[in-house]
Amino acid sequence: MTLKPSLFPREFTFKHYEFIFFTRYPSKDFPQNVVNSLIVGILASAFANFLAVIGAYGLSRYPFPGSDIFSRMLLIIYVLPGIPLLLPIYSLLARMRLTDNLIGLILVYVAINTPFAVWFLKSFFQAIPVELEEAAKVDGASSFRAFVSITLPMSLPGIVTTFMYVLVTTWGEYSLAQIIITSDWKKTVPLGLATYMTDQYIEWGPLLAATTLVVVPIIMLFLPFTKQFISGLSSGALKD
Amino acid sequence: MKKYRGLIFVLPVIILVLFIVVLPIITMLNNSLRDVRFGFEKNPAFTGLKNYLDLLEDETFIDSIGKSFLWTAENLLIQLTVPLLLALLLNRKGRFYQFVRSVLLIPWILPMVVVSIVWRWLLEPNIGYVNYLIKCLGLSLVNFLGSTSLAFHILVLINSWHFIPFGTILMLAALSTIPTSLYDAAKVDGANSFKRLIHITFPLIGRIIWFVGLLAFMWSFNTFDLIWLTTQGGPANSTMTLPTYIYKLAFKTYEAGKASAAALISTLILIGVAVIYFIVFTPREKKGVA
Repeated sequence: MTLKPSLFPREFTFKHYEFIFFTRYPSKDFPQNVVNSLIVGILASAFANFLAVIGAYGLSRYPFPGSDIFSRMLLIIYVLPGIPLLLPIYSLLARMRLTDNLIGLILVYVAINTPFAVWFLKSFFQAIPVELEEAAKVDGASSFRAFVSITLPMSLPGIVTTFMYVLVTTWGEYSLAQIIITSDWKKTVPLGLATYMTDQYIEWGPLLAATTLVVVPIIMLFLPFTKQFISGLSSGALKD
Repeated sequence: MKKYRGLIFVLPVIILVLFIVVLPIITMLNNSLRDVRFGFEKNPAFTGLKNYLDLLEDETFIDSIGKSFLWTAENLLIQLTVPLLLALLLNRKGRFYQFVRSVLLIPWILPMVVVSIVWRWLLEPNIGYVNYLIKCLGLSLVNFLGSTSLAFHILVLINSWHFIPFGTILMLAALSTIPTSLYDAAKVDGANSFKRLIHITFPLIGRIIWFVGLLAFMWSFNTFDLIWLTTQGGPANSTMTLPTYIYKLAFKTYEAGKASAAALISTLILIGVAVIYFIVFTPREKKGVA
């Protein structure tokens, strides 16, 4: 290679950004990847949070024998599935005819992230005094009404934070996505990026342009919630 | 029955856990005892322990277990000490420290694909910045990820770099719960800063150190994306850890039976570590430490 490395770019150019937006062929269709990732991320995060709110509320308000151990185990369950479980998860999906299907991917992401979301949200619900709900019930509100009008708004920062967290992690998830999704037009962003990397000759320009476009929104989306995230994580971890 | 009312709320979670963890482990056990190539054949022949016996004779597998434990040990060492030091440094009040705490988490939320791309680019033998700097110092170029002796340890460093923010944040949270009055009292009694660290800080944040250690262990043991996207287990199998090898068996050489046997062993190791952690830290036995 005749190019000499230099610490600062010799010239500034937007041609790599142009390339990833306008040069579209099936195996490298970056805008399509972004759309897929957004659909998968938002739906997975919404479902996971919906189930997690119900679960975490139940654990914090109606403890049952063993519920303590159960909620501590949820975090382990979140970190346990890795490559070992990839093949069996894939064959389960294949039996349900959900491979190479974004719904299948969403289902797996919901299943993986819900235990973490429950564990995380439980500490938010526990921080809200039960007396507030009881006061509402004395005033004639049903349990559900008391939950919707008091507990839910008060735990909203926690819910928004878990939503962002699940969105950000599913947005970047690679190993499950690359096994489940095979069609080019269903690929998510990490898979799109990986297609650049497995080429014999890596085109660094477009790859780094695409990487920048992936990283900037994540940081912009997540940064406002870091404080919430840190406090939620800490209270969960410290109580655990 | 009223005692178990809370169970109704967590029923969906339980069903999801069955789907994502319990059923896969049963499938894995079943496949590991049969003659399967792809993992979803109909009624494959029962072969007993053949897959396990094959694994015992497979040198790459035996090596990969050793590599995985070395990988986890190196990662744990860095991922426990560096966050602890950083947390001790950053445990101060003020706007600057608060800002650092918020920004610190960024590397952790970066997807592993991005981490792999950026580091591969930085370490590129011809155009990478790291080699540019080495050249400036008048030394010869290094092919970091292409070297059988270096690649493994370089990947440990990258993996740890990714985890350190998360560990630091948790340890900082634990440190901030220690009342400063405790330190003041110790100072009055003449304890120097080292003694205060050993006798006040460590005992009080001990549980969180174990907790960070558990997560670091699980995540490191399971590391796959980073290794696969940078070296694919190479060069010459020098970065072939257990997850990487399981992946290769399952999806590259199509030996699903063998892959399932190896996967079950790997899962049992992780469950074992989790069980030990829970036995040591049952809530009833914990003493009055916040």
